[in-house]
Amino acid sequence: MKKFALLCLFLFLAVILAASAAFAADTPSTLDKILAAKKIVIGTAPGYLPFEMKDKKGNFIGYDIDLGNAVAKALKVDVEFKQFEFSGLIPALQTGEIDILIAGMTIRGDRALAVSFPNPYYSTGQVLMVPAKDTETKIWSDLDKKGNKIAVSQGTTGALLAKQIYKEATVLDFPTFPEASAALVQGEADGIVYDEPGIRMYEIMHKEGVRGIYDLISSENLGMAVRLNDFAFIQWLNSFLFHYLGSPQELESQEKWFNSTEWMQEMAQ
Amino acid sequence: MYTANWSVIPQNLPLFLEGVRLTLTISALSLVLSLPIGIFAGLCRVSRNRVIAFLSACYVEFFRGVPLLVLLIWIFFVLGRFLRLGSYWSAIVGLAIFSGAFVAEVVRAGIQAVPKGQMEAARASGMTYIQAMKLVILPQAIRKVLPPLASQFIILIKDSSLVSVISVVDLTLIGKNLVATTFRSLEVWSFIALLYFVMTFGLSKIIALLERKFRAEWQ
Repeated sequence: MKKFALLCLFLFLAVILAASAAFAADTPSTLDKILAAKKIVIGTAPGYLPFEMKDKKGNFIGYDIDLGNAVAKALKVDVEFKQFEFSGLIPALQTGEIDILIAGMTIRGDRALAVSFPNPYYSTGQVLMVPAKDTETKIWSDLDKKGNKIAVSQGTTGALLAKQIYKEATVLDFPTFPEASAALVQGEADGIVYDEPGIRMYEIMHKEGVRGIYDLISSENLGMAVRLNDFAFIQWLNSFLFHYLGSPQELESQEKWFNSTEWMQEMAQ
Repeated sequence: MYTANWSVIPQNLPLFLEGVRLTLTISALSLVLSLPIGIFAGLCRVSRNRVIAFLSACYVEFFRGVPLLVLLIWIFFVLGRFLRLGSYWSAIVGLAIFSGAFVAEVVRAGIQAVPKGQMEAARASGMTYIQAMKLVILPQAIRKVLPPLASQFIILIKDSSLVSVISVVDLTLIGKNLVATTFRSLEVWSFIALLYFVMTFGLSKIIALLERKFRAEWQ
């Protein structure tokens, strides 16, 4: 009798294991999961102006946040934003911590091996920023000299680009753009390579300290990212973007974040 | 589901080793610097001169209470403006000052653990305060402080992972950069944890050896 009970337990465990293995092999689309939970969890990395930042009350605001809210509205679900370091976003998506990431992320081949991108929602590029007292530098290559230091934000496209193009100058990794720009202002670095919108915002806020050089070093497209090969979700997001981009709602969002500076009053400074 | 792919480790082994080398040199240099700072501050804390003891207490309380991350940013961005330390030496100085505060407390505890009668007896037999400290109190205190000192130095190695905030390419920053390019966070961080463990375990073995040596000399 005891043996029989033991055998039953064994069979039971085997069935559960087999079932969970089959379940893992055929993971349902995140889209279904979101609809079932009636909630979408969006990962982002505040500090990337004007795409995502936090206001005085600690709420997420910015162009990407409007986009995320529009996604949730179209899905008719609640929305939760979760804050990560930029370099921690893709791992968070891979482990299922978040359903989607919206963080001004550049669409790149190496990233697309780890996560999948729907169509881009914004076009921009990398530019150089120098201290205001440097009136000579006209193009990024002017700074490519021994002893020069280029500050970057660790893990960003600007960081990878700078390490590629600067052969003589040293590239310094800082955790975020604010630290990299502090290094520039304090004279610890001679230039920063970073996304154009971010540099434009920074220059508006620190006119006396820095100067942006807006000839694009590279151009690129920003995309949301979802779990690798989640085709149902990608398909839905593409349809959503076709409708959203250029809609009155989106134009208003662009106007608010890129063409005016009123929102800066809302921001924690 | 997250499926692990460990090939990222052997492919980037030279990078990891470079990170270990830098983490070890930074930790070792700041350890060597924090010892005299800590011993000096610890001796000052038990000084009979009230002003000296107070100043030393200020140093300990302040640097023990300030987060290391903030300290590193201060030294690099603010102090660096006048001293031009650069990120490498800012990191070492920051770690040494920070760790020195903890070493000072360990040293104080060690000295105070030696019974008062020892000092009184040494002074009564004609030694000066300095002589008594050097020949009677400190040799006894050293044996008592070795175990807590070992813990402090192990913490120092792990604390050094914060120096990436001022762009020192230590083992942690190499890990962050690898995660940013390969997206294999679980694999990279697990391996880095192993490397830190090897370093701290090695150090703890070395100190255990020292402990045995001091005990043998005493007997």
